[in-house]
Amino acid sequence: MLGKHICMSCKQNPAAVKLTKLIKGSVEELWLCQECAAQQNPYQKKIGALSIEQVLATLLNQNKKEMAAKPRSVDIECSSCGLPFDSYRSTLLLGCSECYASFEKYLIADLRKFHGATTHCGRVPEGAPPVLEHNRNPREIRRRLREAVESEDFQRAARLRDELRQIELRAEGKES
Amino acid sequence: MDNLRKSDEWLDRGGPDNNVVMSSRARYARNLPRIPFPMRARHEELKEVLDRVQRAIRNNPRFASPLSFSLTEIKSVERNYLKENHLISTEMEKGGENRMIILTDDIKLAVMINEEDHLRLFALDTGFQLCEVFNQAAALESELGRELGFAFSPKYGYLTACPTNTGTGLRASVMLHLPGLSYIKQISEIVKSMPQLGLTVRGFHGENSENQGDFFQISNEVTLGKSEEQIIDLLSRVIEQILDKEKQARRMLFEKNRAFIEDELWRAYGLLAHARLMTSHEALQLLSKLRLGIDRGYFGSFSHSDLNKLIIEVQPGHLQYSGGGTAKAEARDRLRADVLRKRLEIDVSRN
Ligand SMILES: [Zn+2]
Ligand SMILES: [Zn+2]
Repeated sequence: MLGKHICMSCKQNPAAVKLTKLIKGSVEELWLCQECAAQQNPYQKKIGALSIEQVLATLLNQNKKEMAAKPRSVDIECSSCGLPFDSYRSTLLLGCSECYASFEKYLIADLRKFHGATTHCGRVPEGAPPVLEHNRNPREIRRRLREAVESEDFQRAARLRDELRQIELRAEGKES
Repeated sequence: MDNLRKSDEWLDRGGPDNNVVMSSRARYARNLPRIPFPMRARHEELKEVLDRVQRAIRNNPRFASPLSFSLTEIKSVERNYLKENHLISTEMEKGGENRMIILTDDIKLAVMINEEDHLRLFALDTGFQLCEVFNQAAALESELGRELGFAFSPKYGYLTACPTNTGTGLRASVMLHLPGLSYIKQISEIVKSMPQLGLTVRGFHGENSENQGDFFQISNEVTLGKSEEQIIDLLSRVIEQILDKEKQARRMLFEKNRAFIEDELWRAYGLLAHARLMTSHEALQLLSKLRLGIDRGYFGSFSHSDLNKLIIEVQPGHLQYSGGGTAKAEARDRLRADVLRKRLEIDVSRN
């Protein structure tokens, strides 16, 4: 699985470079071909010309299975259904809805890789409180977004950007 | 008419922009709380899920006269038939215990039970009707949700067996026919740009994205961190753009390269109307060209809907089912050529 890497951006050329970056204590890897690396290296110092859109694209392009199947073995199982975490690693299938709580610590990284986000902001069941209401202040989110871009934490930036966009969309809906 | 053939009916309904957009669908992945997901559930648990979902569906007026198939009971050729009608997934085609698909009698709404998730409920229709199918699926989802109480977390949304579906659990998709863009070699550009938008492209049969007769299925990849409306809105806007480009490409082809494109169309017609052996791959390629011609008024009274049906009719499972179970490839290729010749006995003299 780790042998031959395909470029995570164009998904066609063999990867020529591996970009590694330390983000808040965890190492993120990005495999790119020469072309794509030159085009959209999100880790170059100067990020002025690089849109968050481009960075987001790279994140979304990452090959899911490969990313999920990082060979870090974790020896735990779901307290409810007994599924070993390593079994999830090989099938990408969880055993029950409680698995989300049992494996939370490890699943978050996968969710971020698959969706570029870790929090639900869609519909909720009838009677349930609407989600995300606590941090729905656009100015605060914009401040955090700038902070994230400045510290080159692009995953967090993408997340915040989505959140901001959603609030803006909602505001537009109210006006019209 | 038998139930299996009745399930064909959704294929020939027409709909907005159906010269380019063959069909639209929206599906939700949902699970019951406190019961393991199907892959990990025991026999009795799968049975319990099946019973509870069936009961909820029986109480739902949309399913007044349902069309249901037990994947456990029907034969493999019948499962293949449903798969070719785009009504069940590859996973469901395998058969398996306590698995079922229940459709409304107009084949616009369906629930798959005990696939990868306890429920996969979806709405589908022909043409560009993304908002319509989404609204239909959403309405059914909330009705069934009220009765069944789906597994949900305030943080991660609706919980699914595979975390790639978590959140909204919503997968919206359209099947596109893009021969124009294919002729002017712009497909790969479009395909390449999709991942950047959080969208995925697949081929006609879903799983692999190999070019099969210029049919492409585009769907959202991301289900968490975006609202249902955002997902539908993004996909709709992208499809509208592709639609415009495809129409432009077709106009250009017929205005600037008329002799070339007419030759292509009539050659395709000639092969379809006269060949004695036809593989399903070749048939799809040729029928794709025929469909482009129909859009420009060629081939007499033949319509897009007729063609949608014909495309499915010559798939291996459909031939095997109607031909009394012949599974040999060569016999099937002969049968396919026969069916095509018969269907294409049309008055083409006026073109
Ligand atoms: Zn590349
Ligand atoms: Zn579990």
